Formats: sequence, structure tokens, C-alpha cells
Amino acid sequence: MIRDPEHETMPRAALDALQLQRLQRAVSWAYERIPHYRALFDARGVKPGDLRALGDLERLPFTDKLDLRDTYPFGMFAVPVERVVRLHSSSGTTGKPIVVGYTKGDLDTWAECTARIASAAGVTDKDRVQMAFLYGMFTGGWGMHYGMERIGATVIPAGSGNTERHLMMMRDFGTTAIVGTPSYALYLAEVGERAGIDFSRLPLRVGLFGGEPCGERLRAEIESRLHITATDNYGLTEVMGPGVAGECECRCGLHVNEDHFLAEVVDPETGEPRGEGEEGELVLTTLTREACPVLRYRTHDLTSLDRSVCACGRTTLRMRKVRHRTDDMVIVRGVNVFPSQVEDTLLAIEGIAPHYQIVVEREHGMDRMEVRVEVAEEVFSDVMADMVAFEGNVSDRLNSVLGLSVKVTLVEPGTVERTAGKARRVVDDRSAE
Amino acid sequence: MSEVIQLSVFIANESGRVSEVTKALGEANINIRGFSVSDTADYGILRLIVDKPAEAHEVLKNAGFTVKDTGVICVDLPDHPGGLASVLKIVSEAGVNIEYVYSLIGTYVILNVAQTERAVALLKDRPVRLVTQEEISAG
Repeated sequence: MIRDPEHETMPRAALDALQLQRLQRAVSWAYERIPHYRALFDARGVKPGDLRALGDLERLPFTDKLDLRDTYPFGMFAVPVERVVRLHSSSGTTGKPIVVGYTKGDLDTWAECTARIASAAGVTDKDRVQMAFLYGMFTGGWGMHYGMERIGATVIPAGSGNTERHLMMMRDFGTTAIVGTPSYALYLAEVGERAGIDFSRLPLRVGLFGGEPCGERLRAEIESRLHITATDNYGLTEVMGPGVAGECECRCGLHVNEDHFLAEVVDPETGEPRGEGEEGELVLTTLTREACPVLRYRTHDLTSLDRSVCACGRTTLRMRKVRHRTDDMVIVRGVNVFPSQVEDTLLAIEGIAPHYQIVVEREHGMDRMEVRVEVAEEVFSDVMADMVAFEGNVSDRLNSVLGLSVKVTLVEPGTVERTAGKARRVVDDRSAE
Repeated sequence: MSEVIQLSVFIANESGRVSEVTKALGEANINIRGFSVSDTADYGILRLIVDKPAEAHEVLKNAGFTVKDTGVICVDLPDHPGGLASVLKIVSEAGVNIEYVYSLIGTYVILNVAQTERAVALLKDRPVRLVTQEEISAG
């Protein structure tokens, strides 16, 4: 269902005009109220008034994670903290987190954006939606929560963890939709199957997944095991949280809420714009955010954009599913390795649930790559020769896909670290030497 | 039934993992009748014969281990020189591949073969005593 036909099916010319008008306002708003932006603009010799067409956007400076981190906690706020009604922060794996604030108006916009995404995924007021995202400072839980309530769905704020309780509620409450990370969905399937739950007999029918990349194979695995339709959605704390983009029933890319976000794709090295359909780094500008406007934010997510009108009727541009990030990539002996390649290879070997971790170390000046694979019941054998053959098969396939010799180590379930439901896919220990 | 249920557990080669398995079973009042371990540098397969295999499976699964049930053959060997050889000969001469073999307390030996049903039939034709799960469970 299209929740807001006016904005989601707006003809391109009208959408461009709306974006330009909102962009001009957003740029002035940020320039006048945030000293850090004023300094960035002045250093480049540009003024908000120079922005006369959408194409002028290229002249504006980028914002990077460091800009947001260096101004911790409230340096990028465009309003006094008194006007802020909610704070969230990124997980902040190293050092201080990034803090974002929301005015009443921002929360309203946010709920509307996630409500659109939920509607596009097929959620209605008849659904019972179980939230498997972490609540707390993380934006995933709250963002989707309010969108679901706005639709009128019945929200079950279970939060992350306590899988047994999730399964119990799923059965007892007749849950029809689940929201969380794809890796948690897979874990839920594993635990449920072990407990003898037949998912085909549950009313569960749709999943909205985000927070980490979800490849087509992983999606297919989740769909067949949980007996649901799985949709991907996208967002990041720095620009709002979930609600930036999401898939419709056609599942041919994620529709960006273009009346609130302006998307560009640039060369990750040079920052030069990339043409339509070309892969590059996604750069986002918030058009309506009051408390924390962000201009040309470098997301480090690799994608491409498609402006053709979708079969669903939406005119908003679609970003291709994000499969990897510029900073996810590890270079091992000169070879670019993305976790998604490892994931695809593992999924192609029947029966493997893709809980894995890439560990890169340096030994005697040489890079050494290890892939740790959790041994699921499906691949475990009591015969050692079978296990050795399985390990060999995984490493042969990885070697040929990556063009690198990879050491495969079989590990016990639960070995790969998971934080807030997100699995840590890459551990690069080379800097330690 | 002439087959005995064996539990196999995937164990990372880290100190304390085998002890955790045995502790979990002990706390659940499950008696281990015999076991064997195969290992590589990184991991091992712990094979267990217990009195209550279904319960033991649940206990280990809930403790987060990857567990698998396998039907294996338990033979009560004749207690004299050449006793084991006489039993293995019956199976191997018929062309049935033996995957592994290990002994329990006393004269009991566990065999895992490529074709379990066929091996059971071969052994039943001979004066070989097969031990049942009931006997294992009763102790």
C-alpha cells in the first residue's frame, strides 16, 4: 500500500522542485545555526545562496563521521537542547558515540517515514508486529516502533535477545510481522526449529529487516525457514535512523523517501558524482530535519541509484540493496575482500547458516586470512573424515571465489561475536603488529 | 532394536570444553557409559554413549552445543585373544566399511559402519552378542 501517494508518486519534475526548495531551506538552516557547517562552507568559499539548482549540490562540502564525532555531544545541533525531545546515539565501537537529537517535528517526520516503509512492505493495521530490534540508544527499535503504531498495527516491543520468549510470544500472540536484523531472524529460525516449532503453521507472514546487509541468498534462507516474505529497509542514525528507504512488494531496490532525504552516489575515492546506475558511495542530505540537519553525509555504504518509475507506482528513486560498505572491505595481500562474498559462498554450500567471521592477521609480514564458520547441526557429522572434507570444500570454494588462500576454522555455535543483534563480520588484527 | 544411540558433540579445541559437556550431563543426572574423542588441531568430535540419550541430547543442545544422534552397534566381545578380530572380520569380509571403533568398559565395543543394518544382520547370523540400548540404559 502507498501510504502517502502525494509524495511517493509525485512526478519527477515536481519532486525535483520540492527537493530544491527544501534543500535551500535546509542549507540555510544548517549554515546559520551550526558553527561547524559555517566553517566548512567558508573554507570552501561557498554560501547557501550559491545553491540555485539541485546540480549545485556538488559544490557543498561533505560531512563525515569525524565531523559528527569531533563535535560530541551537541555541537551539530541546530536548535537549543531544550527544543530537543529525544536523544539517540550510534553504537560507537571506538571512542565516543555520535549523538543525534530530535525535535517534536523530527519525531513526527520519523514516524511518518517508517510508517511508509512498513506500508510498502505490506504491513497494515491488522498486523501484530514483534520488534526484535534493540531498544535503548539504538535508533532501530524506536524508529520502527512509532511507524508501526502510526499505521495502527499492534506493536509487541519485545526488544532484542531472549529468543525463547520471542518464540513464545510469537506463538501465543499470533505475531504476523517481525522487525529486526537478518542475522537475528536466522538465529530465531534455528532456535525455533530446534524447539520443534513448525513456522509454516504460524501466522507470521512478513519480516522487515535492516541494520546490516542482507544478500539475496540470506533473504531466501530466512524466507524458506520462517515461511515469510522478507523485505529490506535502510537507514542510519546519523541522518535519522530507519525510515530512509525500504522495499516495496516488487523488491527491486529500496525506495528513498525523497521528500525528506536527498540521495547522491559518488566515487568513494575522489568524491566525484557517479552516473545513474553506477555503483558508488551513498551520500545523504536531510531536507526536513530540524535538530540535526546533515548535509552530504558520507555513509560509506556502496549502492547505485535508479530513477525509473517502479511497477508499484512510486516515482521515488530506488537505491540498490546495500551489500557492502567501503569500510567493510578488507584488502588481503592486495585482494579486495567483502564479507558478502564469503556469505554468498557459504550459503551456496547447502545447509550452512551463515554465521561466520573473517579474521585477518599478519604473520611474518604476510597477511593471513581466516574464516571462522560456526558448525550448525546440518553440517555436523560424527565421522571425522566428513568434517575434514566439509572444511576442505569450504576452503576450496572460498579460495576460488576470492583468489586467495583462506584458512577455514570450524567453530562452535555462538562463537562469532554479536552485538545488538549484529554479527561482527570482520576482525582485522593487522594493526596490532 | 540392535542399534545403540550415540551422541556426537562438536567441541572447539579450547581448554575446558570437554569438561563443560561432562559437567552438564552430570548435573542432569546422566550417566556416561563410554566415550571417544577424535580431534584435529582446531576442533574435536566427542562421541558419547549414555544411559538416557534423548535427555542428554536436550541438555547439551540447550547448553548451546551442536549435537547429533547416530545409530551405532554395540558388541559384547568374547573375552579371549582374537575376540575383537573375529568380530571385525565378519564385517570387513562382507565389504562393509568400518568408520570407527572404540571400547566401553569391560568387553563392550562400539562400531560405526557404513551400512549399519547390513552389519547388524551379518553379526546376528554369527555367535556374536549385540548389546541393546535397554542394557546400556539399565547399566
